[in-house]
Amino acid sequence: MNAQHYRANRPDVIDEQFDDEYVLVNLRTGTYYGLSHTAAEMWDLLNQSLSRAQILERMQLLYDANPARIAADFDDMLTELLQEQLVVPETGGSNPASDLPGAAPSVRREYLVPHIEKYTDMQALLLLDPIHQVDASGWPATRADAR
Amino acid sequence: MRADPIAADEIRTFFSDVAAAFACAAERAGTRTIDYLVGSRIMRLEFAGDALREAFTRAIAHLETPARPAADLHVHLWEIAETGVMLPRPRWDLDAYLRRGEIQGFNDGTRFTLYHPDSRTLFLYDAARGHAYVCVFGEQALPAYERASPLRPILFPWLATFNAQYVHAAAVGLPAGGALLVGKSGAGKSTTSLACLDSELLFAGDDYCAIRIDDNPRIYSLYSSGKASDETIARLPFLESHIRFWDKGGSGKAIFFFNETLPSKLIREFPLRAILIPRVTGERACRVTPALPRTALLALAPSTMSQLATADGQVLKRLAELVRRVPCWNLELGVEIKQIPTTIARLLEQPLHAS
Repeated sequence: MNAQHYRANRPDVIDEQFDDEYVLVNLRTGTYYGLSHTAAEMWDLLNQSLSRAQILERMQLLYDANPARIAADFDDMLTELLQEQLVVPETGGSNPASDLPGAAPSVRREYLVPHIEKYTDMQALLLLDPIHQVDASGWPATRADAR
Repeated sequence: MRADPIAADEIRTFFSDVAAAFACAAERAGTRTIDYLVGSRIMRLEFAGDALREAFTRAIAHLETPARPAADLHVHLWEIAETGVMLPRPRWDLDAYLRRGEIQGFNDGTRFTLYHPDSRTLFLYDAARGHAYVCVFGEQALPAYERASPLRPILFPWLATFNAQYVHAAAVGLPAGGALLVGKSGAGKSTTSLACLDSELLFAGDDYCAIRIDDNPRIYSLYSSGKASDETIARLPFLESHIRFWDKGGSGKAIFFFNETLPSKLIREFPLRAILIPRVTGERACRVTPALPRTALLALAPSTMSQLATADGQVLKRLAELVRRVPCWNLELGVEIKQIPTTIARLLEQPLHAS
């Protein structure tokens, strides 16, 4: 698991960054997500083709928190990202340029439990499937008075 | 959007067959052409017969312009019941009908094919040629939302060809500048925009409009229509006399065409100076507070993208660019409804920097 790395589930998933926050959309399910603070950092690192071990190493440099807690929170978030089909396992090699953990900041940031805000109120509109009743012309209709 | 390579020739053939069907309908029923000004572009509607004219033009009558020598978009429309000219048979199977009406494999980024089974309406748009086709089995099946906001599947990709974005948002303002009102249905967009009809502010749309997104974003009005629930009309009783019909089979709301009853309150375009996210607070006063661009994007993008077939990641990018360029504000709606337009007008009078 430590060596496994992941990537955003494109093209179904699109994201947009605002400073240290992300807005994600799963076009297939119609669900929107907001990631901020620690969750946004984890999303950013996941999309650099880093392995779990590399991400945890980087997070421990950046944040003032117990490494075991960071690891547990990362695993929880990764599970949720996989369940939501926002990321998929990457089959290629990991990013070779990411073998180095990077420089530690002079002051480590406050650690907040990563949280994924989920907006599902548009799902019904996106996923509304027409009822396909086809008449002799070959064209479907869903209204009884149109047939 | 990537087209199924097997369908590439099929798309061309189908478009050609539909164009031939329209020519046949035009020969049988005669045609009438009307030009409309959308931003600085000309959209021409050519109707074979009369059956569809009112349904597709009532909401856009405020954009009508004297006939021009050429059009940027030429839309051909006919009704099967009136003309007797049938559509060619679909060149796809039932699995090809996707969730927002798009036909899988028949949308290649240049040609767009959509079908609404509910209203039995086919929409085709060929961006390279600037031609579009709309065929309706029977006008009576057109729902109120199509009459109030017609041609949505065609306007969305056409507007994108000149860097304008079709959005699910209301817009009010003055020639010097105005505001976009964003949020999901029920957030207060319509109430806010309709309340402005009883003020110095002008109305550019209560549900949809277009935005040219560049260094100086501009709002383009698309529809003069509005809709309101009983509850909204009770709060804004001046609307009562403007009701044109009730959408009894659908939303249950009253439908307005303000071009017919309040033409002086309409505005066709203005510079966009603020993005407002309405929220009903239950407090007395109305006020504005700075909002994050991310909050505005989450209020604007889901409801826009979920309603536009063929909307993809590029739409999210354009909307993200917009909320980064234009100051965003929370519009906290109090119970004093007359304060809403005055609060917006006061905001628009000031140099605008939300954060």
